[in-house]
Amino acid sequence: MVSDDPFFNSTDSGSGPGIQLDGRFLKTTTNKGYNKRAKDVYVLPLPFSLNSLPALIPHNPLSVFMYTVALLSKPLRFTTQKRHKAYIDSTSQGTPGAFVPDLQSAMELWQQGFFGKGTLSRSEPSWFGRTSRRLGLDGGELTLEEITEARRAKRRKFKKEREQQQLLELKQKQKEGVLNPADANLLDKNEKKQIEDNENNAADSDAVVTKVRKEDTDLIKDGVIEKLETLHLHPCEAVFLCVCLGVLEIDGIETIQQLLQTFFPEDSDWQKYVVYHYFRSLGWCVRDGIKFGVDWLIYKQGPPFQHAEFAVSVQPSSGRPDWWWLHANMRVVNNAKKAMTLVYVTKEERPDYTKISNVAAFRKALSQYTVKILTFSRFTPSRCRD
Amino acid sequence: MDTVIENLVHQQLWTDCKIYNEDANLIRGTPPRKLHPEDAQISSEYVLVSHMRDSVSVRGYTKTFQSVHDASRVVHAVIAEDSTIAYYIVYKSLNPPRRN
Repeated sequence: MVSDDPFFNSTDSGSGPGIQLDGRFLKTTTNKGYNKRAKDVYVLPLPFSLNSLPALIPHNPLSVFMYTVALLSKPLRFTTQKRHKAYIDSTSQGTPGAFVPDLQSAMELWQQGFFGKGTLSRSEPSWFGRTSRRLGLDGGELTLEEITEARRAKRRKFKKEREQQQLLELKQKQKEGVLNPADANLLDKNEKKQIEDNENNAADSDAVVTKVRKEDTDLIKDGVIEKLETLHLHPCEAVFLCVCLGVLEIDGIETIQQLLQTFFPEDSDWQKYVVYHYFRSLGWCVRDGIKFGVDWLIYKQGPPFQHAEFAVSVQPSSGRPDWWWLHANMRVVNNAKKAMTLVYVTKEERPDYTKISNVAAFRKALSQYTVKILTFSRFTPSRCRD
Repeated sequence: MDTVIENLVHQQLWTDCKIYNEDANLIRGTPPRKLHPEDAQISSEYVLVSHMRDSVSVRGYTKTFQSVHDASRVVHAVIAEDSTIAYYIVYKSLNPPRRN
């Protein structure tokens, strides 16, 4: 089962319908069911909703009246339902980008367009639920991190069993007197290791992880777990949400000019934004590509629905592709069943931020840049014949 | 450094994480399980903190290993722009690969 299942990158399929974790049953084969649920949660593709006007039927005077009232009472284009609030980590070594401390805002930004990353999670801010369950309080649904951990625990158990099996085989050989020197060495080493493992029994068991630590008890105040996690927005996400969607407010940032100077000090930062904006405006969900050594990953709908199809790398427009880099990264990207998309931005220098005083000027500045795309996928003659 | 400590304690579930050497960007803490299957037991580890925009050099690593004189490896935490932290284990010398 190598699949598009968002829960499992590649797992064993021969172990029954699911794995047991914490007394809960995880289904591994419910991609469809999960997608159905995902569709209910992730309704809005971006964090704002459109105002729809009532139907206009010209010969029905009542409908004309309702239409006019709706037209006059609501702004015509869209309403920004809520202004989310964020702050900047202003320490000298601070992570670039903005942090959203409010849990409600964080969940909305994640669920409506997949913006940001939980500071203590892989992507969706799920730390609170995970921790609550780890400490024996109720935490709602299982998170992706816990599912991965269950898979790893299983793998560790398998390795341990394999080791014991090997040890038995070697002992059998020893009895039969057919043990060669290399095996004898291995037997010796394995036996020693087993003794060691038994001595500090807890060393490798999962019990260690589920134990409540001092660090955990410090978190609980008046019987409630402190909400530690915030949502971190990438500089590009922060600018897109602030300027293009108008749903984000950042502490201490008053103007677009100030925002751009803070978040995109280098030409390369601005180029990265141009590419981000390009794919976002075409309806793709764009996420950071650090995990695959590229600039962006683009998803058709978003991470809960399917894996990203393309890994996007922003290339210097004046240079030629670096084949060493491309070959190396191609393998990584290809192994995850993605295509490598090289993007060239025709102009390298960032615009003069001092001239960008409003959204119209921002749009005008963006229109000076053209994006060219080149997509590579790896061709292996013996494997690509279908 | 604080970002990495918070991440070690609350996402990776390490214990006793403290700044070990502020100037050398080093943290010391204990992981929840052995970092390498061949380890005798869980021991406290040194964690070197850097950002993606910092450059890496042999000189830098030499300095790091000088400040942790008794250890043969350090964990290198690299913070990315989107606040992902990638952890690498850096050995002072050759180290046999672990069995998969």
